[in-house]
Amino acid sequence: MLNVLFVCVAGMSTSLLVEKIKKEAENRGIEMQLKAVPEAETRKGLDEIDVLLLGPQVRYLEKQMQKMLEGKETKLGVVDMLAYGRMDAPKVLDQILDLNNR
Amino acid sequence: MNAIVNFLEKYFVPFAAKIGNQKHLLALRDAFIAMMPITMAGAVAVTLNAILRDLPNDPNVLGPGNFITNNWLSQHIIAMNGIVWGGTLAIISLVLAVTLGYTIAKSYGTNGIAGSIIALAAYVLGLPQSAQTNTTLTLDGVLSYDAINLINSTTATVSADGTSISVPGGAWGFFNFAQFFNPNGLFAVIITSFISVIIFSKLMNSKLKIKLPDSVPPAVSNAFTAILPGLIALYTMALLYRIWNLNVAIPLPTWIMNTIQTPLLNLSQGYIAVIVIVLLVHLLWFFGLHGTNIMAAVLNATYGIAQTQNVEAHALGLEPPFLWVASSFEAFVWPGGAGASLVLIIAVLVLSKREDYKAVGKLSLAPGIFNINEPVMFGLPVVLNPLMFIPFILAPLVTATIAYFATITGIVGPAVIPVVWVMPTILSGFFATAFDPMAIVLTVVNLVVAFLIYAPFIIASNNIGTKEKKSSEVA
Repeated sequence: MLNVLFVCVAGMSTSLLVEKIKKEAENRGIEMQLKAVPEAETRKGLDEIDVLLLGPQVRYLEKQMQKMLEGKETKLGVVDMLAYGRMDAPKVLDQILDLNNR
Repeated sequence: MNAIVNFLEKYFVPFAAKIGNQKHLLALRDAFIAMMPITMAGAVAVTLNAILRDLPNDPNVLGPGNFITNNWLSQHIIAMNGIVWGGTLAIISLVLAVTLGYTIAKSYGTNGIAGSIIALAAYVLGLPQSAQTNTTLTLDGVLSYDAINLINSTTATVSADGTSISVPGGAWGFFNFAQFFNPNGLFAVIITSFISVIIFSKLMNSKLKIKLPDSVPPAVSNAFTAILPGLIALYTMALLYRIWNLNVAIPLPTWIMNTIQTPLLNLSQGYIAVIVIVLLVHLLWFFGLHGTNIMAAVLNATYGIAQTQNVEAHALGLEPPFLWVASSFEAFVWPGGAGASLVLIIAVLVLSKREDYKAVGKLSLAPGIFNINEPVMFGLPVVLNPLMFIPFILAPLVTATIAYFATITGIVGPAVIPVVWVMPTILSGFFATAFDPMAIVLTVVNLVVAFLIYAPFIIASNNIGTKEKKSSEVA
């Protein structure tokens, strides 16, 4: 089971995308858990997360997240800007799988 | 154009990213966010009072004695709103001490609850503990000369015309919550919380703590290890207050309010300040960074506090002290999110002939109505799109200018009710100003103006799009 966490400012815009990715994953038969959270909540703990994706609007947090993830298996990435804006679920899912396989 | 963009990308964006990652600013921002349950409860109380009491009581609406205010249910709800106010807006400074203590401690990797109680103690321990009262009795008639002399020989005094007596009084054992616990104390809380909790956290992270054997349960040993750092943090604050009180007549929190909070907030009321904020937010957004989030600590500490003071004044039936506050930006300057992007979406839907633009427009409309602008920002994209740079920066500057002068000249009332940021445009200004119909007019004017600014650029993008298509067809 793939565990993915999406981070944006209020968790609002990302939750739109998350719903689409869930459907896309279902179609492809991939078992995964997806959650969108506001950035402040990520500091509570990141255990058991396989892939952590930042919304492009909070990509300035990348360094901070890198520090937090030091020593953990979690893969970190920033969602592609256009894919995010156009809610291109297949493309983002590819990005997730790609990150996970790295 | 490209030179400007490159220059900003090279110098401005990394600087902004640093600010967005600065741990003390993050702690401050998160502390304001964490207060949400309390501030929203206060906001609901104020909004309900506006709907049930203030609006119907307006002589232009129904006037005093109306049926909406004067019924059994409304009276009880209004009374309960008062009770809720006493635990929310009236003590908001204490609430901030608790949340800020927690977020600062967390940012240093120390115990959050310990941080909370230390910040709370550090603020309260410096407050004056006696209350001064001045009771004035108004008399029906004029006192005799003998009676006046008799009263003046006590601590009370009779007014020159002999129609009122003022009785000074005082008692120990009271905190003045209208002075120290309400929004007036917010800046003082920010300062005392940072000093005390940073001292505490640095000591906790140093070797200076009581070590207990491993057999002691962690909850117990945690409490013990915090003793010495907590003690030193609070005694440092006590020393600070002691030195202050020996040298300055005004209590420190009052001094901070008079010397830092009020002048800074007054500064925030200037046109230049408003324009600079709008410009910075949109420059950040143009580079795809969440401008209001990066600047949240600064915005909360200025326009957010000004707004809380307005809400507090409105709840008490007083004149709001500030004209331009946090909701003024959201309601009037950027309807639909940064860049007035809802207008951009509408302009795209109406004017664009490009299929890709139209698709993004359709996708972005529903989120845009609720001020979620990421789809259009990243999807069109507006971000780093040279064609969109001018309207995206210009539209909010113009709407800000219109809204600012409409508010300063009193055409539109100031925002006195906090509105959730997902409140759709037009409604948000109407609610924020406690139902000022002119707020609707202002919002519509701004929407139209923003549309006119975006329109030529969307039309221009039609040509660019078709040209690209043609050239690709040829190729």
